[in-house]
Amino acid sequence: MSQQPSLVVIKAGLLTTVQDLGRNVPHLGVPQGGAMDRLALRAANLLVGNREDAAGLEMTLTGTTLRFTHPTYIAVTGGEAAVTLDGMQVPMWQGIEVGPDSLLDIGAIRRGARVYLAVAGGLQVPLVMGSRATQLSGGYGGWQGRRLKEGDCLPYLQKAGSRSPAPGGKSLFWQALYQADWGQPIRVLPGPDWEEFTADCREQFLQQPYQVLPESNRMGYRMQGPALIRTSTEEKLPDYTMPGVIQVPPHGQPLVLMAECQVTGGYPVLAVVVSGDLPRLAQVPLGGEVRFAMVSLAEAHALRLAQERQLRIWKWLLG
Amino acid sequence: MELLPLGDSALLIRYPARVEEEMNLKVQQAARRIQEAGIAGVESVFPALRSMAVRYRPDQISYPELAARLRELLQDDSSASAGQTGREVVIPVRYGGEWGPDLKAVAEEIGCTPQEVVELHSQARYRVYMIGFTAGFPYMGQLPEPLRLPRKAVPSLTVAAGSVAIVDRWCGIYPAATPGGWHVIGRTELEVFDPHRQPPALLLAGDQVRFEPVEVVV
Repeated sequence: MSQQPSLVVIKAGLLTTVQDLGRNVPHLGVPQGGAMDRLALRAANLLVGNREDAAGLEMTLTGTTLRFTHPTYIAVTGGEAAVTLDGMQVPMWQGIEVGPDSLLDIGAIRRGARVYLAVAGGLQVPLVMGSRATQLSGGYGGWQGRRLKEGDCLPYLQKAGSRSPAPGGKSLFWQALYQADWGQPIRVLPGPDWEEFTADCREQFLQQPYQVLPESNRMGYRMQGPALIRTSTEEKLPDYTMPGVIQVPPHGQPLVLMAECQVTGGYPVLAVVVSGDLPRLAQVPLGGEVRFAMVSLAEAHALRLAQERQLRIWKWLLG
Repeated sequence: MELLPLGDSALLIRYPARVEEEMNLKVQQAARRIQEAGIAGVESVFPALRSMAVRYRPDQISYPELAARLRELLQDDSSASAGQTGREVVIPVRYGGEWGPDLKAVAEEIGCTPQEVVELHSQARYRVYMIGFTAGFPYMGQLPEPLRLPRKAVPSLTVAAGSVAIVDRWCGIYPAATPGGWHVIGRTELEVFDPHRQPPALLLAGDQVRFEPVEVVV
């Protein structure tokens, strides 16, 4: 057993990265980044007694196999996958005690698109511009600025200091709460350029399904559905963008900006996904269908506040 | 000037159309005032070309509260006379040849010599209007009138890091090798962005920039 507790990557999966809640330095032109499904990562961290913004792993579509060299506590949240610890099935959405030299296997994601793993104390990778999140396009942050591969050894803290996870039994209830809105339309607010699109297009956008195209990634979801036509051909100046912004390039198919999007963009902004629904959108797999529904700013805020309240309740119950 | 929501956690302040020197200066001064006001619940302030985005936490401040507070701060235009913002930065540039593969084409297109393009470019004074596109990329304005060209018809598949490039009224420097549609006229050896350096970005919005030719290949 080595001195430093490490998470050894046995099977990396399609796209597994170290993520936290991202960076807050837009004035440097640096993307926010961080977990695509912030809600799932925050919950996973709470389940092991971490700060909500501690660094964990984000797995995409496929699972991973990991070896823990030293005892610790972990939690797995997000999309649904079969999780086994040393061959025994263990529940998601619950703090789990891990013994020395344990093998954790997270299977293919059966529902949703992303699964999160939190480790007590958080993964100990260096801070880059205030965050441990992997920035794939810039090649920095996380573990050597890249997706994980077989043989990587990520340091974590000795168990000392972290407390035992809260008693189980609530995991199914929490998972049900988290998934309550899955399959429902993704709520949006009109973007600054909403009025520039034809009335017919705006109606189509809110009535017809859009498909998430395979070339989607952590920067954005490319969608396919009824084309969106602007009434003006005037070119836009580049302006601030952020996750949730729905841009429409000249070909008329929307691009929903996600966690790692650039801080500016020059395409017209049709609508913006409400912050409370971004985690749910991040769980729509490639090829999945999405419908959009317009809400008011007050409704969007009510949704977000309810989510924050839920997290506070969980934190309190676990504290 | 108009205030409008950008989703449920950002507020966009838009200044009247056209980016003029004075308008962008106003944006940057207002951004600084808003930052200095330290409004609880405000996460970040991003000055853009002729607009500004204020990110906020809707569980800490409501939109109407934030908008009212910002309107107050925007009205106080007195410090507009505070003049220029930012530092003065000199960027050494090697023009033409392998460093500026588009220098000759730019000269041909506007009907002058490459040497004249270098003179036009390096005699002008620029201000960083915005950092955007990619980490550390400065939108510097404004390019002298005769140098203004539309984007390249066929973008280059790769533009070297440090490339000094122009388009429309803008001059930019590519922090890292990326594809790009701007006309590359030179290159600097200064590192424009390094995530592990403190500070990571060579330039910030509001900085005053001058280019110094260290070598010209025509």
